[in-house]
Order: sequence, then structure tokens, then C-alpha cells
Amino acid sequence: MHKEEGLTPAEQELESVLGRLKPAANMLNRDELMFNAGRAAAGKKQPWQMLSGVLMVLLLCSVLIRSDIYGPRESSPPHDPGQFRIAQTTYRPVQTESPGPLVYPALRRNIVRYGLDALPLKQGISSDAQHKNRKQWLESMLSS
Amino acid sequence: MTTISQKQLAQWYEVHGTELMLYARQWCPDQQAEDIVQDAFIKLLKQRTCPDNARAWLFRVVRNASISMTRRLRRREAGQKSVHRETLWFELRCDDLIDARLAQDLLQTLPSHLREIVMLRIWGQMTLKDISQVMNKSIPWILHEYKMALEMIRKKLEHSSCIKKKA
Repeated sequence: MHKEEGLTPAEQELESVLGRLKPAANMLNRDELMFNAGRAAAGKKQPWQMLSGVLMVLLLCSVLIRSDIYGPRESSPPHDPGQFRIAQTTYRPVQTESPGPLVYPALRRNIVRYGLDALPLKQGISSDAQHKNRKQWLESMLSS
Repeated sequence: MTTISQKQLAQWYEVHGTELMLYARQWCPDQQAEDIVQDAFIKLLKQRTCPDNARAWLFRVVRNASISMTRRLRRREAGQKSVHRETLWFELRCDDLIDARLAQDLLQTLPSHLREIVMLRIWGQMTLKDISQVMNKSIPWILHEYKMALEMIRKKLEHSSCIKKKA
């Protein structure tokens, strides 16, 4: 106990008598205190840790949002130069009748799309005759 | 000014834990006093730098928390019958010149600020300067009040001894 000026001997004696009383042992559990202290110390976060955590969350959010907007990218199959594809074309029947003046835009559109095969045949020649002539011509070509 | 290690905290607890518990008990029941003292040590550990006078700092934290707790308890117990169970503040020993129960009764009859000064001075072993920092009062005022408290205790002790002699 600190002896300071201003106290009479009687007061100092009373002070010392009271000071001999020992406070009751506290009920604090030292182990519990140290456990809580350790937990508190572990819970302390540095500012840079908090900042990096926030940045990580923002990065993840931005990645998720971008994938939602653009959709998943399809992976292209490996290119095999030796493999060729044969284009599938559909056969369009040749128009055998000559179009009237009202169907001219449709005829033009067909020619642009399918080429000269879309041109109508001459009137008066039946499709069988045309077929026959074409067959004869092919046979003469092959025999020569 | 250095940071506080857990080992240092454990040492301070060994030295000051009992004094702080006694100090807190004048306001709060045992369970609350225990929580308050424990919180004070945890707060000390959380400080970035150790306070210049860690002991006075601990007493001040316990004081503020105890007073806040007392106000909360009063509000909660308003209208209810208080079931505050008294426990002994001091150990019962045969060689003590003053009976522990009597000393506790004497202290409890003192005005709160006088009791606080006596506890800080005698069992907290603090200087008048430290007490003035904890209570935020001037040193002469602390000395005056402390002398008054000792005088009141002396008179009550004489009174109680007279009663015993008559009995």
C-alpha cells in the first residue's frame, strides 16, 4: 500500500488493519478467460484481409453476371483437314410452264436463287418429249 | 507502447483479477461482476497498444461497465422484488483483526463514492493520483473523501465494539 502524506498515524493504522482482509477468491475461471481471449484474438481481422475478401466477392459476382449475359461458349470441334463435308442440296423441280406476266417476280426470284435451271421450257414441248430428247443426246454423247 | 500478449494478460489476471472482482461486486451481483471483469481483460487484449497504466485502465473499464450494468439491472428489476443474493467479499480468517462480515457491512453502509475510494485505495492498492484518474476527480478531493471514509469506518467500528461489550 502506498504511504502518502496527509494521513494521520491512526488513519494509517486503520488502513493497514483493513488491508489485511483478503478479498474472496474470485470465481473467474482462468482457462475460460484465456479461451475467450484466444477467440477474440483470432477474430481480429486486419483491414487488408477485409479488403481482399470484398474484392474476391466482387470478382466472383462479375464473373457470374458475365456468364449469365453471354451464355456458355460452345467449344468448336477440332478441325480435321482430311474430312470434307458434302453439301446437301435439295432438288427443286424445274418449272415447265412459262410464267405469265403476273408471276414474273416469282420467276426472277427463282432464277436468282437456283440459276438457269429454273427457266421454264419452251411451250409446246411436252415434258416426255423433252426427257426423250435429253436421253438421246446423252446416249449420242456417250457413244461418240 | 506495445501490443499485449496472452501470456501478459494471464499474468495481469493472476495479479489483479481478485481486486477487480471485489471492485465490481460493490455494484453488481457475482455473475455480472464476473462477466464484467472478463470483458475488461478481453477489451485490454483487443487494444492495439497497451495503455500507459494498464491497471488503472482496467479499473476504469470495470467501473464504467459496472455502473452501466447497475442501471440496466435497476430498470429490469423495477416493480419486481429483488432477489440479490449476498456473497462474502472477503475470506473468513481467524487471524484478521476485523471480522470479514463486519467489514463488509461497514463498507456497504458507506456512501457509494466513499466505498469506491476505500476499495481502490486499500484493496486496489492505488495511489491517490491513480484513483483521481479512475474517478475523474481532483487529488485533494479524493484525499478529503478518503479521510472522511476512514473516520466513518473508525466510528462504526467503535460503535459495534461498544455494542459487543454491552452484550
